[in-house]
Amino acid sequence: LNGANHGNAPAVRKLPVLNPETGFFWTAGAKGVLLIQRCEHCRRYQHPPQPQCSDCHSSQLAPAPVSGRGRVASFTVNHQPWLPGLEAPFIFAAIELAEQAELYVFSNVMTPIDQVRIGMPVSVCFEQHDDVWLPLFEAEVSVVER
Amino acid sequence: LNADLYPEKQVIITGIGQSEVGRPSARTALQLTIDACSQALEDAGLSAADIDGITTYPGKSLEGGGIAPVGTTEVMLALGIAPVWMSSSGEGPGHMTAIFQAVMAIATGLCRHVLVFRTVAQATARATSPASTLLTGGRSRVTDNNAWTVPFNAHSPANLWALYAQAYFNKYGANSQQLGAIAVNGRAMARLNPNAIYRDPITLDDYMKSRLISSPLRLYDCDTHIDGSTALILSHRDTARDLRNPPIAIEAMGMANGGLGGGVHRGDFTSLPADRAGEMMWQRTTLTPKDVDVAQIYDGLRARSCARAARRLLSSRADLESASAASFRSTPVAVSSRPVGSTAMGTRMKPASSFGSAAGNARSATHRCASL
Repeated sequence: LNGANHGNAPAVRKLPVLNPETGFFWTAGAKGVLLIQRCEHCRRYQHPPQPQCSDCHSSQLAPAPVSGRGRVASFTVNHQPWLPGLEAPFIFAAIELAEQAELYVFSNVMTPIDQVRIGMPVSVCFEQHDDVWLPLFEAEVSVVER
Repeated sequence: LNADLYPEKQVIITGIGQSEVGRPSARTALQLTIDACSQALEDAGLSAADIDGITTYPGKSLEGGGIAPVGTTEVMLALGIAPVWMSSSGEGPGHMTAIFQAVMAIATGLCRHVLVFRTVAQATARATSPASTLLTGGRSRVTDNNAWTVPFNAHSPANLWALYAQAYFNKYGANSQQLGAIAVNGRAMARLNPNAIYRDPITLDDYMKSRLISSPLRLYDCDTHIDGSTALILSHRDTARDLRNPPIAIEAMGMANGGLGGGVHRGDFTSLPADRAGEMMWQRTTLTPKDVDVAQIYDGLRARSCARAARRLLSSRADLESASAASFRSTPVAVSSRPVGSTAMGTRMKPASSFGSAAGNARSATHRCASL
């Protein structure tokens, strides 16, 4: 993804530490897929990853591929340049993934800021920095347009 | 209700104190703390030696950002006292966690007079400490809770609270003018407070012209870093007759925690754990929302979005504009709300002679409402 094409991509990122519990989420983008932890017992997804299923308490958990589709549950247009070099404005949003109600991922929506709306369908894209593939989202392109 | 079965009903607020508030203050964080504690002791008519418990929120931290510069041990040493109980934790619903801990220490009989304080030195830290924020340069990586938001450049609580404000706007049709009314009212109230940093009134027009920080939140929706300290003395109700002030009884309390600080959120971004904190509080009193006279709502950038929670706490009498207007009738309600947790506490004035009688016999009167 070339964020500069969208006119609102932060050039500066503080990257996450990769650890055994959460590393899959940050690296799966290398294969172009979004992985979310799923309980193999009750089949519920949960994010962020936990040591056990917070619903049925099973410890049988594994990263599972999801569609990468979702909707903007809420968003904000950030105008404050918190870091030197950080380009603003940009969109920070809570994305509700299509697989499950209230399954949220925080991210940036890489569409022009005047187009973002609550409820807007989005799909995942990835922005690589070193060994991290940040899951970002953009307005979903309809089948007809595609 | 049988008051003996509720720890908070054993406890009264007997003294309050507050240091100067500076941006920054020339006094050290410990000196500000002792200023506040000494005032609270004087207010209560107690000496330092009467204090047998100390607690604070969140407890001493070495993170350097000025959010927790002073711990209980330093205060113990500075006051030259030997309390039997000291404890503090940043874990829990927030600032009033310290009060809940003190309530339990008193209700169990361990303590009679607990000193509760909160000190911040963020104004000094922002100017002097490179560790005061995440905003240092370099290649360092983020971990724990920050890992879920900071890589997406959500560096401030304002970004998270903005999600609530936007969702609230979308669902209920609220608008920036209504948010602005809270800021305008806050400034009008600050004019009455000699310890406030910003005392000049602002208009709704000023608010609407202020720069956007994270839409829909603007500059005047956001917190200001200050140096200062506030102290309370909580005492067992049996001590009421011995002390200087008419006691302020803690009528009921409630607390709840959520997971947003850890990247977890439940609901549609228009509700907070404050809903559950409020439900707990109302279950512990015969008072009802219509008895409320003053609503004291923690008004960082948070009150913007906890307005719905406040409205729910107060039944239908408050709307978005008046939730922080402090214009109700008899019982102060303090509401504190953060991404991770919320607390609620109701207090009421009681004449000392009413202690030991049924709670409902006490005549309520508005006096003052203290919240951290």
